[in-house]
Amino acid sequence: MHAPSYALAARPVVPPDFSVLYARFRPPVQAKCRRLLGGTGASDDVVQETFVRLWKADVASEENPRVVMAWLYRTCTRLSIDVLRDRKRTQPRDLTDEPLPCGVDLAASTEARAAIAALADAVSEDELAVAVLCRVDGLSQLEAATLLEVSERTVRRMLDRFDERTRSLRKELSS
Amino acid sequence: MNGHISAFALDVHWAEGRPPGDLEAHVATCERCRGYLASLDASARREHPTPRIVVSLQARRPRNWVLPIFSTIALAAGVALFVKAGAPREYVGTKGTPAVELFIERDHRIDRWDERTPVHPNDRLALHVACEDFPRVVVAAPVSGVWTTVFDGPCPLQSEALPFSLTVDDQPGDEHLALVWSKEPMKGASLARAIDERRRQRGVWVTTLDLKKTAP
Repeated sequence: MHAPSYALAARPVVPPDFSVLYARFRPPVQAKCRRLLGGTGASDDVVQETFVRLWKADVASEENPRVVMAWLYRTCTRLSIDVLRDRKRTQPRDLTDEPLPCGVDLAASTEARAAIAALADAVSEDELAVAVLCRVDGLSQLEAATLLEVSERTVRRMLDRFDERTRSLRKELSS
Repeated sequence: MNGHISAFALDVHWAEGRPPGDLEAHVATCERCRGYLASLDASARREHPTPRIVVSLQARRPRNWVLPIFSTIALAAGVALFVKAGAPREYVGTKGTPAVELFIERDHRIDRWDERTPVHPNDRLALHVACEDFPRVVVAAPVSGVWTTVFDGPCPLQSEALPFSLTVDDQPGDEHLALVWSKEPMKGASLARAIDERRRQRGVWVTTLDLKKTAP
């Protein structure tokens, strides 16, 4: 019998209940990706890639759903931003008929999605992530700060900057 | 609970199975949050296969990157995986040598091969490799008796899955795979020779895998 490979032993092994984990967390992640990207193949790809990364990460064995969800939110937010950057300017999907929690303001979310798509190339990923979480997903600044592991002050600063950019963009479009 | 609830808070609440408490009390009185949670319930009822474990958006590969070639290679069931030379051995290597590990996706589950479970048609297989100091790895399979390259690329920096998966077909007969780690690119006759010799010297490390398949 050969000794087990130290290299492989050091890697996370697919948890036998990965499919259970996927069933438990996939619907919210999919809903989040669709809020930002629409119900396109791109959002399905992001969902898939997010769970591939979850599988590779140590997070899959984490038992606290809040920790897993925070990781998934962080990861799929950044992956979605990558998609938006590739996609350039496109008209965001109408979310009028989409079920949204009461914390998500439809008008603000719609405007934010348009601004995020338009500014994707010009704005830092961190600022975009804050905008996605606070403006599209309706997270409080404290929730976003906790999730992104930055201070609430940093979130506020980035959000102020993003809102200023959105106002400028609005003016630019209206003129 | 007063005030509005974020998607994150509701998502965690849903993933926790909606335990009783302030949030559930809010949901009872909030039509929008109730509707949102109902949409998650409906989404959960729809079937969504567990994702392929090796496709990478980052690599910008097309979605159909899963190799259709394997339907012609007749890579079939039965993941009896043996190192070719000698008796059945563990499919992982020892310290300092390249190693390969096989994962099987079946019925929306992904499991590491346990050295006993046979594979079935339509199983999806992924190879997880550790390359040690080798910069390149080739995966080859015999097509009409000739070793044919299925994958040829740089080794991942760390031990991880190669960026493709193999689908088991329903053709009869055992199939074979060869993994060739090397310092220099290897193709054609030199690749076939190295595999046939099960070479493990001069910058080349070969492991061949026999895969038996059975009906489900």
